[in-house]
Amino acid sequence: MKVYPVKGRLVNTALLFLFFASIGISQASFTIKGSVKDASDEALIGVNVLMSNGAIGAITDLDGNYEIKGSLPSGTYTLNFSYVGYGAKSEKVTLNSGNNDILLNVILEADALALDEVVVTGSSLNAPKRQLGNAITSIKAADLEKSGTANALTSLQGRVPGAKITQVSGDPAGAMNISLRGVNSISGGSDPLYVIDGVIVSNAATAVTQTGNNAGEGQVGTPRMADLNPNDIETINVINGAAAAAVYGSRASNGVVLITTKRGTSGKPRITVGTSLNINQLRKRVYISTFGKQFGFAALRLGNISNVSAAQIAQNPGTTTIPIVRDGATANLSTNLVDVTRYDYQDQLFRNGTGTDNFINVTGGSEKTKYYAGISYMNNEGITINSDFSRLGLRLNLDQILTSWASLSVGVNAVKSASSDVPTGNVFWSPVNSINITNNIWDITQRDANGNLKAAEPTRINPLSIETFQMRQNVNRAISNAKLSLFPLDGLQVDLIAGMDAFSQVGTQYIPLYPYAGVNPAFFANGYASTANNVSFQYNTDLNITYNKDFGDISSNTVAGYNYQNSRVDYTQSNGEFIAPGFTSVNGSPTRLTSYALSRYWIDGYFAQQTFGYKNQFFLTGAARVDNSSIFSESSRNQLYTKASLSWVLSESNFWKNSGLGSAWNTAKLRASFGEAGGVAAIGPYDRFNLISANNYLGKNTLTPNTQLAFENVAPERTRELEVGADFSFLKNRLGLGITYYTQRVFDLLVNKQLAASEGGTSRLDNVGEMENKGFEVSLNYNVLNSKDLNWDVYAVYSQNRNKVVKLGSPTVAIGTVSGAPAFLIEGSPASVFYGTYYARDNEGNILNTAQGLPQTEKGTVTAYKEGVAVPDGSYVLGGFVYTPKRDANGQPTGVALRKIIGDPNPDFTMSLGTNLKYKKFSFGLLLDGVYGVDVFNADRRTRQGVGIGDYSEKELKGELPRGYIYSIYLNEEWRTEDGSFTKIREASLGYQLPDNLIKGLSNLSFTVIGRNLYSFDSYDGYDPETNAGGVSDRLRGVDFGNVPVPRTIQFTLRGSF
Amino acid sequence: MRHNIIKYSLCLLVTSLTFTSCYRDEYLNPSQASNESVVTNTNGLIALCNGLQFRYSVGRTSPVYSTITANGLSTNELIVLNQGNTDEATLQAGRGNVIGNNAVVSRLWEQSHIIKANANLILDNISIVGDAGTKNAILCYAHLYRGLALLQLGTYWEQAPISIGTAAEFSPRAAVLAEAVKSFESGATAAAGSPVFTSAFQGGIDFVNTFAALSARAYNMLGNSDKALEWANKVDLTKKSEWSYDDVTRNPIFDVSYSNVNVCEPIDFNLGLSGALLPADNDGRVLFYLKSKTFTTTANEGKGFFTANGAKIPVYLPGEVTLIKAECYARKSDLTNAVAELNKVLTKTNDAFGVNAAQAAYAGEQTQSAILTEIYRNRCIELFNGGLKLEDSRRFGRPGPKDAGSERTRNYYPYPNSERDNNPKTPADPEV
Repeated sequence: MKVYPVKGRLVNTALLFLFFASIGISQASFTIKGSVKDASDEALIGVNVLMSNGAIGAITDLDGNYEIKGSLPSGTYTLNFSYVGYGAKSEKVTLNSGNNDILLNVILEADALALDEVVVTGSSLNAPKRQLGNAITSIKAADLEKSGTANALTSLQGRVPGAKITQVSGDPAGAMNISLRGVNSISGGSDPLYVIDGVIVSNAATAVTQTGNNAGEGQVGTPRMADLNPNDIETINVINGAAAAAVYGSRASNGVVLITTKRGTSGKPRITVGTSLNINQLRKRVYISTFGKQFGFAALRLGNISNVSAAQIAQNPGTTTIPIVRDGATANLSTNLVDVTRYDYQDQLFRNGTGTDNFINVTGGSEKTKYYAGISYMNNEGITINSDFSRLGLRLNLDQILTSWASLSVGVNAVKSASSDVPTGNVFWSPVNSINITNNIWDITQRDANGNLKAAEPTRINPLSIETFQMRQNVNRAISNAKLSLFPLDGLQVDLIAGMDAFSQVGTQYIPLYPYAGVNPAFFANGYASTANNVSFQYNTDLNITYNKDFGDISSNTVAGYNYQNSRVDYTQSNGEFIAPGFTSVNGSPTRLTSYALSRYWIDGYFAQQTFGYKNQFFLTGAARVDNSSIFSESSRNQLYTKASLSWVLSESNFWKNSGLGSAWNTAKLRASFGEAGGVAAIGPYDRFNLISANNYLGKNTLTPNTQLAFENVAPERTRELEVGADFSFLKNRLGLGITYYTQRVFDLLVNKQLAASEGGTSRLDNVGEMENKGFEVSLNYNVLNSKDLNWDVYAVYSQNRNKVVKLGSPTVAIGTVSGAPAFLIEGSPASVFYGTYYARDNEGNILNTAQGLPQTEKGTVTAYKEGVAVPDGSYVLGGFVYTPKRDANGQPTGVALRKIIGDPNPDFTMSLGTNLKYKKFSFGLLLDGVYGVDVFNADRRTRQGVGIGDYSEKELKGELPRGYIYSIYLNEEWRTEDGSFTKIREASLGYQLPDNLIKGLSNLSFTVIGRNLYSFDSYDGYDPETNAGGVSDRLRGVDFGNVPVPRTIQFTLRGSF
Repeated sequence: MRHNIIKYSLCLLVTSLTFTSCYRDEYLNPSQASNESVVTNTNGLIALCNGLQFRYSVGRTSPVYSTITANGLSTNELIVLNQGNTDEATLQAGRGNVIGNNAVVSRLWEQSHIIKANANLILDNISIVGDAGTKNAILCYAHLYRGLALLQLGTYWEQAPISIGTAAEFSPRAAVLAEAVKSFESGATAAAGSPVFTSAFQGGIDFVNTFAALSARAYNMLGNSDKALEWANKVDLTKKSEWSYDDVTRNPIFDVSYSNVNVCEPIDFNLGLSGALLPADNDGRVLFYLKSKTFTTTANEGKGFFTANGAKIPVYLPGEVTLIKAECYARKSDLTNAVAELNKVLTKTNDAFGVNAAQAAYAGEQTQSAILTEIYRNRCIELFNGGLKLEDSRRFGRPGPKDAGSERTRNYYPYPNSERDNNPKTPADPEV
């Protein structure tokens, strides 16, 4: 209490001082102009030129020229020039009272590390890279243009150290899943926080079409970053870890992706147009057997694995059987072959899709008003029948200098996205699963007299029926931001940011009554329709006060601020079956069910950050943030997060410069950063309450207490991270190398801990876990050659992460999925491993066959593990059990089926290698991107063998595998786990810059052909190991279950400006 | 000077603007209710009663689905049609194949415990109900489902916790069944106390007769023939108690299994029986439970009480009550009455549910053992796919999983991993 008056007086004194400091100085009006070029005399376009007072600036035009006009109090100012990939430059200008006309031409030097590049580190916070104690990755517009995709996040693949970026579905509206430095939460997602021009935007993957699709813990909707047009983006900055992102406090544990959109430049209007055409195709087909035989009789379903009963034999003369013993039980499998005709349904379900992407941007303005306006329309067809995605976008960015000490920036982005979806994997009525689950002995193209499709295999749908499904999604979205910046004093800046992200997402789904009988009711045999409406509104306001001051050799940067974020999502859904004739919406259903969910929360926080610099070579930063959120109870809501970081630019020291070291080893920077961040969004807004749900039950109020029990005082997860690293440059700054090591620990990890049902519930959300991620990241970029005609760059990214669930509260937590993947969290193992049955092997490691010569699963005893009790030789402890393989007198496995970790979906490392080559008017780019040491649970593989369409099935029919082989391995989960390592030709581009004025007034006209995902080097027995039936779920990963594979895309692009 | 005043005023305004837009309300979930708001309200308790019935009888997770399916697969009543249904397939193989991760077994255990806990929640708050008729009606529901949950636990496991809590103690199955009887008898008292079932209740259950029939079943399982007989004799065999369904809340066996050829169907046209147990060719009950005696791959041959989404499932069958009487008499060596009751089932043509054997009266040996075998044979046919055969097979001493000519693939089920991992009191699993 005593402290406050003192503080108040200090503030008053400071304000008074500020007041008088700016009195009695005369005004100067000025025009500063000039050009900015690189060392080889090429004009640099888009260089940022900014007066030190902060409010007045310009961007160089297509000829590298800039012009700044204005009026300021007379005095000496600094003009700062900054440009991506080049060292920054500061020039002093003196403004005398009256008119000043100044010509200032500048040459910027290439800088592989770009230490002086100013990067955005928070909503209105930025700093030169040299000051940062952490790694940060910047992706520029030029990189996005070369990626051949209309999704901004897709184009990050292979470019961000420490990021695992997976395209989990090949649907045109399919999902991208990003996790930075491993999995950070097992209750919430690992999706980073996305901020566009200061607006916290939603990347929620709420499904409004897959309403009848039970995906377990999977999240199969379209993550809504898909609404963003990459042509509007200037830079994407990726902040990987908690240490760096601490300024975002309780939302930052997964890292932050900061997106800055393009802004206007003064001068006459410049129009940029682009048009592109792309073709999508299935990159690889899976092997479907068309060998014309089947076991038993033609009507026998799942003949490879079915026990044939005496009744069936009696009804189908000629059927012979062999008794096959598996796990002590005998099945009579048919051995005779009958003729069938087999088809490959991939011919009917896949197609080549085409797409177009057109945009037009206009920039221009006066010295006080600058604008960027862009409009774009993108339309893309998927490679499965019935799927497409389109996006119409409009963006307007306006910058207005209000006075010499105030400026205003406004941005509006209006988007309409629409897609036709197909059922995702996880259901057997999806395109890929219907191929896998249907015995291919039916001609699915046959129709009856009325033109209706005929039935295929009983219980299954005719795969072509998917043509008649209607699943449409429409999104209307507006993302708006306003930033008012005040510069009351030299060095003092006050920013007020307001951001708003509002969208409504309407989905309709209609599955007509199948025109044939016998379909499993779970596949909506009676028809199905639904409509879902998701309305998301979130806004944030930020107040940031920055003060920069130099005291001799010491520079000081002080930031203090307050942020508030509010989110409200209303979700309404109605669905029903038994659709009446003539209806295609849920209104045709007599059994309509409606539900409503409202999710609301707010988060706010105060923060302060102080950076001291010494001689531009030593920087020390400390920050603290206090957060609150409605998601947590009063007692656990208030959370303090701190960070500290250090950056030491050794090469700036006189010792380095004078020793001659500097001429070969141009730059050396060491950095270290420690910070804490929270995972506020790891749980739902009401997860701390014990709640009761209502059920639809014959028209009566029917309430059931939730089986997930709650703790009122559950607390947010807390991630503590330490990262250390170094940035070096060699060969005249042309070779840059960045290395980062980090260790991260998540405390108070929220686990939906399994309960013994005798406690009255099946699970309880509690802070009982702990998880760690450790790893390192290397990035390398090398400008091999640089002359007027030839420029050759090479870059590489290497990342490795080791994840471990340190504490879980229970020995294991099962992850719900309908794919059959035995995905588990296990104490002491990486998250989401596959924990399942495996082959019995002999001492040499060879598969131990049964007496009938067939492979079998390992068996033995399973006993509860007790701390301190010795584990016998040959046994292993896993998930709270002691597993002991046993052999009987004949050397055969005996006992119950044993389980072990049979796969790990967390990669050992990821690596990418890219190059850009420019010769005169030609340019060439290539990016190889790989994921290594990763396992995929290939659920589809088994399915194909069981139904009789796979490669093993063909071998068993031909006698190349013993009869009963597939039956024997059918319950063996190890057999379904495969190495999913791959190296992909992610991007390959070839461009040609046409001569200027080919068409009068048209310049920078370029033609480019881009291939994306052209080829994959892998040994995977499926379409594509880069996939996930769990969608963007971070708990369920590496599961291949009917997912649409990622297509190969060829794009032809034409761009020009006038 | 004035310029600066404007400047600083604006800065202050900007700062204050940030704070005024920030609401720090508490947000509650409008689509779910808190425990307190429900249990302090009579209508809330009634809705919880309906919730007990919902949990017990609706969906693939319900004990009705699990008990019929698990029992059928363990006792040769059902076969799995697609090996991809791994949990069902391992149940059919039985023995060591059934381990603590089996989903059907785990759900049966878990849901039974949840239902028991939810019933206790109602019983703990019953004092808020003022009206005696309503109170007795609520007690009927709570005791019925608490008793049924305990009955399931006592049927499939050697031991189970009765009380609810962390590290709950296990009691032997006899104690668990005795606790079930206690609930049924308390329920019978409430049912006799003029309960008032308003239209808010789900309905469909004749509580007086249901409590009597279930008490008889539980006492019979406990080997208390006198008490079983006493309760069985109180049952009015013309009365029906059923769980109802419609196109939304569907008959779970029909929805999952019998509507398609992908999960389970009856094993054969002899209902999986052979030798001395074989049903007669013209036994009317066989074609009550099967569509036909011709098995195809395109249609499920299962019928019984699982013929449509809206088909009702009986809580107990009158035939069971009569066969309990026959069995009790036989065990008490009153063979005359035993055969008399047995014949009522064999010659039945007017069953309330249409389960009519329409056979000749018993003409076999008049020995206790022969009569008991005939009673068992009739239980297998009369109560086919009703979730009772595993208990019957044990009680009648039929060949077990390790015996020659075994008729069941398990004696008891292993304890689910969810219990073993989180309750240190969990006993060792039975071998089979």
